[in-house]
Amino acid sequence: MFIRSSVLAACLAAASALAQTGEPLDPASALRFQLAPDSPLAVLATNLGDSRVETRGGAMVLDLRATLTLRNNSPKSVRGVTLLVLAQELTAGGKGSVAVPSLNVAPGASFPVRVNLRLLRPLPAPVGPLVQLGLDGVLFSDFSFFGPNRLESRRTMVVWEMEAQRDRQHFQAALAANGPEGLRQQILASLARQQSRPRLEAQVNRAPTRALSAAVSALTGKSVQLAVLKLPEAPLELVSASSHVSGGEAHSPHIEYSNRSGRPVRHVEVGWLVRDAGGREYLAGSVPASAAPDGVYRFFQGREPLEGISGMRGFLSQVEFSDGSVWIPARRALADQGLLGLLPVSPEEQRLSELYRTRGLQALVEELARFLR
Amino acid sequence: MSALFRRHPSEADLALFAGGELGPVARWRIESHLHGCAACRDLVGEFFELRSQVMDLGELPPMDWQALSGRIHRAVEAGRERPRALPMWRPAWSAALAMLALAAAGIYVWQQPAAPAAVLDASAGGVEVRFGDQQALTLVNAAQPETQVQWQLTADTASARYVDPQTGQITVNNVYSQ
Repeated sequence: MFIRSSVLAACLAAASALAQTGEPLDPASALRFQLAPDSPLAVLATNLGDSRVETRGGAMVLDLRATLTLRNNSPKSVRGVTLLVLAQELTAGGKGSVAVPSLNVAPGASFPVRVNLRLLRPLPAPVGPLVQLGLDGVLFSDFSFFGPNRLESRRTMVVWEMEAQRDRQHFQAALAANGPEGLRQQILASLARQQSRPRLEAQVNRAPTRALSAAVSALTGKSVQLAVLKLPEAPLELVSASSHVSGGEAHSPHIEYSNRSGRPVRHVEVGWLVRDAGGREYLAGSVPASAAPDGVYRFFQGREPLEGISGMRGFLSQVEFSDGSVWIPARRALADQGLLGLLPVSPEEQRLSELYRTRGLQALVEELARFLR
Repeated sequence: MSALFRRHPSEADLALFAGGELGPVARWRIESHLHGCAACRDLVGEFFELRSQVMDLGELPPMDWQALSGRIHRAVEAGRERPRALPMWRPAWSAALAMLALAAAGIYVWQQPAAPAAVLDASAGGVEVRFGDQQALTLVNAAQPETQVQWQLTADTASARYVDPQTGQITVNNVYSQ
């Protein structure tokens, strides 16, 4: 009796899966985008382009290529937007975001946001949309913010906007001091840095490692102190930082700092550099200095795991105070410590250098002038 | 190295290999991988060393097995000679059944797979979060080949940033493990 009902259930499941595979699915039904009624942004259009949902074997693959056109309904210019992307699933996770920094959208103007994602789900397909999009936050030119901020997008967008102002000033100063040719030299230097910056592919494993692996790591690895870089005018001082290293793997560093600003601090982030066995240095990541979730970082050069880690350095990369204001390092301080060639350029510097690369010097000069008006 | 052997074995499999506790097929697969992978060879070497250190820890403390056996036999005999107050109710059997149920529950729990690890990946191709082998979400970069993609990791976020070729705007994709 039990065997017969099991076989029947298996047949029903297989039939259901076959029915799913034979039926084309509509990408429009796979996506839902909702904004709060009081949102300063309005959706003008949703274009799903060549998005498609197809079945491969026992799985369903959603390839979403969506362009949303949003309008700024507020009286202030928009500087950045973060959209929350939620993939429907039973387990935790499957959460992402698409952010667009370095915007300059005037009141009443519209702008596009593109969402490219791939989602793989076992069949049968779950009921309802596979992906839900919503607004996590909007940052305005006066640093005011709107949104639920579930992803801490306010802090991230404030940092981007402060970096944008810092780096625009750098290029505006080059233009003012040495004319268009001086600006060209600076932007070419930036493009060269972006091209030559040493990079590691990386993977972070958040779950506690298996007992055997953890025990072996504890016995075979070693604790490595990070050499602390001191940046002038930093509101905090990094006292010590260390990480447990085993081969080409490293745990999130444990960091101690002292607050010399006299202001309560909400969030501190430290840039983390690792040096390989050949002495080449890379930015490994950015880690919160307090209450950081432990993660095991595995680094790869191409497809090969990093052979070993011969040294590490750390520096204060951002501080958020309890009143919401943010500190970031000055460009001069980064240059003096030799960090400009190791860190990714800011989103604004990336945008400006791409503008120069695709549209030329005059377009860049005009773009910089727009922010001086 | 063929695709079958290119993928790195897990640390647990390498540890079991070092301890000689793998079956013939798994052993052959790992041996084939080790021929072409210095990193895994080093790791196996470390496991060998660790194993020899553990084996050098010394003998177990001496134990009087005869005396222990005698105590167990005496306890069993004493149980047999005790009069049965309630012939239909057998506490020893109940206890044994309860122990059996507990053991079965323990084995069941032990055999359940642990919650899969949240793994974040960041590369020029995009950012991805997956749980064990199951992909949860991939945000794909749509950058043109000549465009620089800046990717970065924190303990719970993987980010990739590029200039979108259609909009000309900076786009930052993030996936989260929490």
